[in-house]
Amino acid sequence: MANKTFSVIQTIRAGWNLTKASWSLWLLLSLVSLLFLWLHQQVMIPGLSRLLPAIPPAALERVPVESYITLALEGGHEFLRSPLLHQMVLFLGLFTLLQLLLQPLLQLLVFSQLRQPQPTASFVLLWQRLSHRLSAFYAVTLVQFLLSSLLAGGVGWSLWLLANQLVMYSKLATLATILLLVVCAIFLFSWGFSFFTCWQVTLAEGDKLLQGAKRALHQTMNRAFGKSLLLPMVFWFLTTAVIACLQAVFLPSLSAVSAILATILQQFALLWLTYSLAAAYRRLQED
Amino acid sequence: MQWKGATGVRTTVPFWLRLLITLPGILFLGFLSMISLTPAEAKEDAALSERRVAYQIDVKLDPGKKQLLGTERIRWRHPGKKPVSEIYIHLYPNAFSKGSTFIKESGGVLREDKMDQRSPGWMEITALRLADGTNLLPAMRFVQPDDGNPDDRTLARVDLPRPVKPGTSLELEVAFRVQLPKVFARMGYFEEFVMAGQWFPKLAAYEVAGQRQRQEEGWNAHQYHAHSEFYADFGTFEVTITVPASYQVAATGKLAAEPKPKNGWKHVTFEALDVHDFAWAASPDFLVEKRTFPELGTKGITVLLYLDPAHQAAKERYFQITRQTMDRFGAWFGPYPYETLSIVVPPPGAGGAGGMEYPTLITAWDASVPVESLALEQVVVHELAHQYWYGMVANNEFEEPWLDEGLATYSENKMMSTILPHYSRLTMMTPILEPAPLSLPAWEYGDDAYAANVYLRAARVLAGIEEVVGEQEMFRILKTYFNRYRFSHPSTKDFLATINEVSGKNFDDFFNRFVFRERMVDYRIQNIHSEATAQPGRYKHRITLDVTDDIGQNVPILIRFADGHTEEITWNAKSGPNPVVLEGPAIQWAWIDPEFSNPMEIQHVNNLYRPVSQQTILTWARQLSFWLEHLKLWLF
Repeated sequence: MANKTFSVIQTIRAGWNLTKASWSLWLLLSLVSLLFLWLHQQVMIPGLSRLLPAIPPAALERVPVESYITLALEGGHEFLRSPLLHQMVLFLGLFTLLQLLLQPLLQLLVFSQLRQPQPTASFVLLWQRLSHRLSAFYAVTLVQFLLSSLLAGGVGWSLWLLANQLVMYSKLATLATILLLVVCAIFLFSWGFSFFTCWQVTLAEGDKLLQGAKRALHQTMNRAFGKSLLLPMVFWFLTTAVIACLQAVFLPSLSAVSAILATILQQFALLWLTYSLAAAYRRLQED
Repeated sequence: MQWKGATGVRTTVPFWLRLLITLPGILFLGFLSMISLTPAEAKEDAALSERRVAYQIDVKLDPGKKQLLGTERIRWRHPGKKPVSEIYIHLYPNAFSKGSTFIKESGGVLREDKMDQRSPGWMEITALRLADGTNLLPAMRFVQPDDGNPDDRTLARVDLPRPVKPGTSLELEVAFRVQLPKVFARMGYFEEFVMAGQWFPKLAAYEVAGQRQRQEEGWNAHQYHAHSEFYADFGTFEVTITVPASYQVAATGKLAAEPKPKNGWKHVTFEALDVHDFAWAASPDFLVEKRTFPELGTKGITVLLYLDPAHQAAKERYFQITRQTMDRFGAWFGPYPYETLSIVVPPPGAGGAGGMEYPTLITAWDASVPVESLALEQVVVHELAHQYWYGMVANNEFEEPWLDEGLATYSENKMMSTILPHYSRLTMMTPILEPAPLSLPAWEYGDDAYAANVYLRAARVLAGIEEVVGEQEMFRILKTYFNRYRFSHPSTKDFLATINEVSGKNFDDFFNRFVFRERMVDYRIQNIHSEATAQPGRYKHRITLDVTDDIGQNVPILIRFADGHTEEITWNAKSGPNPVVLEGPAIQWAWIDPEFSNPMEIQHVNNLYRPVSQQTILTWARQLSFWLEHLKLWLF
């Protein structure tokens, strides 16, 4: 047990060291993320101008709870049919596509750093180390996107159906199923994040695409299952909590500042987690 | 009792002479018809309906194969003025076989109940003859007037060798076999429990000219659809059901005689007069309890409870709610004229049999529903309301389903509100996302639109009529409608005419908007314009309101000010000022009818107005973008 704890701490520490050495990458990732954030914002403002005034205030002393459920269902239905939403979804879809095209390039730089970890600001150098694996990185991104979309879609749809049932029949079993589904989805996404990270580590180390997938599956399922399952979740919860606190401090007067800080912090946490997981898998291979 | 076929003779002979000549003939024919009546008819002198059709059925349950083997004698009396050369017979159990319109439309799922595709149902006609022995089977063909689906075999047309003359009778002898499906959509078996609804070859309804505003007389026959229910002429039934001796049988009508088991079987005979359908249920597990309430109905009502043991603890509640409901409905609409009322509680797992109405028999939810749930009372009240709106006032459920379902839901709300004061809020608050005209045939509604409109919106429109005329006047309307149209088949226009006549108001425009079209009243706050006054922190507010399809209601508007206090004002679109001007601190929000008390409004999202600054919108946009991105980054 003690050995394992030490191993987790070592893993996180290794990730921390590598992240410190990759400050330029962190900066790059933050800038890209801020660019997309700004684009999203431009698309959302017209929709929110319509939506926000229609969100009912919490006046439970005068308005029964059921009214809010009805309003949510009516409003949701109207919102889903509104051309503004369709326009918004179209643009967000385009941005997502753009991000997907960009992601393997950025991931390539991130995992390139693993091959010869040292502080560097030269993206050209990082690029040259792994550029021959670009197509494989694209393949991983595509698979990850498809599987995650399917899973998110499936979970979202099931939750929608269950929520409808809950509203209609108020059964405790339905509520329990919803909670169970959410917990299962969190675990699955957490493990999935580790698996795809590990897969990219194997690619960076020279494995072929399928061979890398098999090795990643073996590593994340058999050799470091607990870490693969828990680390992303812990990072996600901690980051989210810190960012939420940060925003609570800065809002509402400095929303722009808080958004920038949150994005930088978010990218830092993501990079740290990626490098921590990568360090763990590499150590396993060395063993 | 009016037989339209008996009138219409053109002659110049004086009336008194005609009467003198024809009276002995009429008396003789009357005598003849008396001696040719079925035993069921003969026992009842005062017919409540025209009794256009008489069924004598013998059916045997094969518990192993889950089949019904039956013979049936149908006598149909032609009520029209033109010869009839063909008849239509409903073969409803074929809805549960592959390719049927019912399965295509429902996808094998109805009211969240899923059909077991491995256990289909069907009906086979093994013999079809006229009383003189003429074989009609070769003349029988399946027809699909609604959708042309060649695989649908729920309606058959039989061309007759010779036309039936007006005023005369047609006698048919039928033999049939029914394979029961695993219980689904009102019919089938579950373990040893059997629910036989729509189980026998049933003659379609024949409408005379003028009935339901019909120009030409003729049959009114439709296939079995996912959402449609049934329509048939009133008549008499004498049904003998043969089941294993251990079974208890619940059925429409009353028991003719106590059955005597023989060789492990028993023959149970039921008689039902002035009904348009016959259903039965059987199970060896039923706990049967009988109670008579002499103060109810015209002759007292004997309530027979066929209870699944899982709901034994709720026995008293079933009796209590039945007694209370029939007492209230009797006072509101008119007395229940039948002697019996059977309530079947299906076993857990037989949900497909639950929540259904038949003349003098209803099914409650299946016994998997928790005994402490109010759903027990709710379903019983709703189905009892159908004894009035469907059972006696028998509108065409295929073509105008809103009439019975809407009135049943409205009646349910009224009754349940006497037990639970805020009960009708459930109807008011269920969102109607796809409003559609109420006057559509059942099969033209989509899955979600059917229940939302035919049940809920219809009940709201009826509550809207009550808003205009008042509760007591509404009961007077419904009482008149019931007394005028019981044991007949009224239409939406007949209902409208009754409302106009009793209320003394013209509801034509109301019906045009809310019944024949999908419109509803819609209140909204267009904007709030605030000007600073000389006093710091106080403003002069102009609240501009708007309404479409107004019916002259007073609506409450709740206004919350920045200092935390709220004010409620009442506004009437016809007589009230617009904009409404008031003075006070900055307005946080204003909300028309936040308690959803107006049944006629189904679009509530625009009842609210909340001034939001550009800065707030920008902040939200940043936040939302960030959190979306945050989620996306970790997911993908």
